[in-house]
Amino acid sequence: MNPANVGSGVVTGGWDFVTASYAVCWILLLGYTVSLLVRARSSGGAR
Amino acid sequence: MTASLLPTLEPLLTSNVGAGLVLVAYLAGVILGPRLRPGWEHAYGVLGLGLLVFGQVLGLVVAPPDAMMGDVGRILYVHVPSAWLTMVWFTAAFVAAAAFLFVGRKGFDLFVEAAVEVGIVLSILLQVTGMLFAKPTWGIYWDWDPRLVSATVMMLAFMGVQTLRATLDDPDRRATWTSVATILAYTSVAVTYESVRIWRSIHQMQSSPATVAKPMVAVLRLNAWAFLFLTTWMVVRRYRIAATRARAEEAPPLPDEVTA
Repeated sequence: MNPANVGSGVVTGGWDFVTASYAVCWILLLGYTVSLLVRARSSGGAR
Repeated sequence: MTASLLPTLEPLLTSNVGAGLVLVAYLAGVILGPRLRPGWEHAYGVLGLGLLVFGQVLGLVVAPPDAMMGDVGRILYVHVPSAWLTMVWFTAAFVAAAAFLFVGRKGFDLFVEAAVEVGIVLSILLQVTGMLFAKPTWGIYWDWDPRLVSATVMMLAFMGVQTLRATLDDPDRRATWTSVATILAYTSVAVTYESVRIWRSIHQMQSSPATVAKPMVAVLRLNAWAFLFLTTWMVVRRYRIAATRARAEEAPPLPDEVTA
């Protein structure tokens, strides 16, 4: 992967980094959401 | 369809009046919601999730590429809202910690626990997306740069708060120590925010709507609202879990425990 278009000063490509960022966002937020739901269920009272 | 919606939503999303209206609606919901019906926060969760899907589709497909960073600039729509909301929840935790020390109400302590944990999750997202942003734009994942180091110290400081909290058994001592630790840890938030002004940094200065193209401001703010509503749901849910545990902790012992 070499997204930097050396010489022009404008970055080209880099979609793998963009995709990874959005994927990490969803994994973290949904993962934490699931952990909240599981903990609420195991604590037995959080409505 | 999403492409045609952006120009329609742009005035609401880019103007200060529009931002003020959304903020007032958000605060009205937070204040009135608990009085109107139990489980009010689910509306925020659903709204936040919907806005996040919509905002990220706009960020990936509709928003124009950045003039210098090209398509890599789309990471902005995840990285910047996570930075903003990290600071929002750490600030909320700081205010609640100070309020607990002054007033002594248990609810403030439980809120600190919830807000710090959600802030940590967002700061992890901030760190990871920051590294993914840095590699194609700076050529490196990490550098010992003031902004990067201060943001990492901020995350570790609040992780320390939660670790300290987990080690204390006595509820009163735990609440007091957590509040003091949160206030101390909060100094790292101020340092992180100002780091790009205080020291020479490869990280850019804080942007403002005046320096960013309107379609990009609109998508950025939409994603920020999505993060705000979704993480509000998370904080309220986490607060309820903490409250349930606190009630169990304070419950009188069962008869067989008394006789044992």
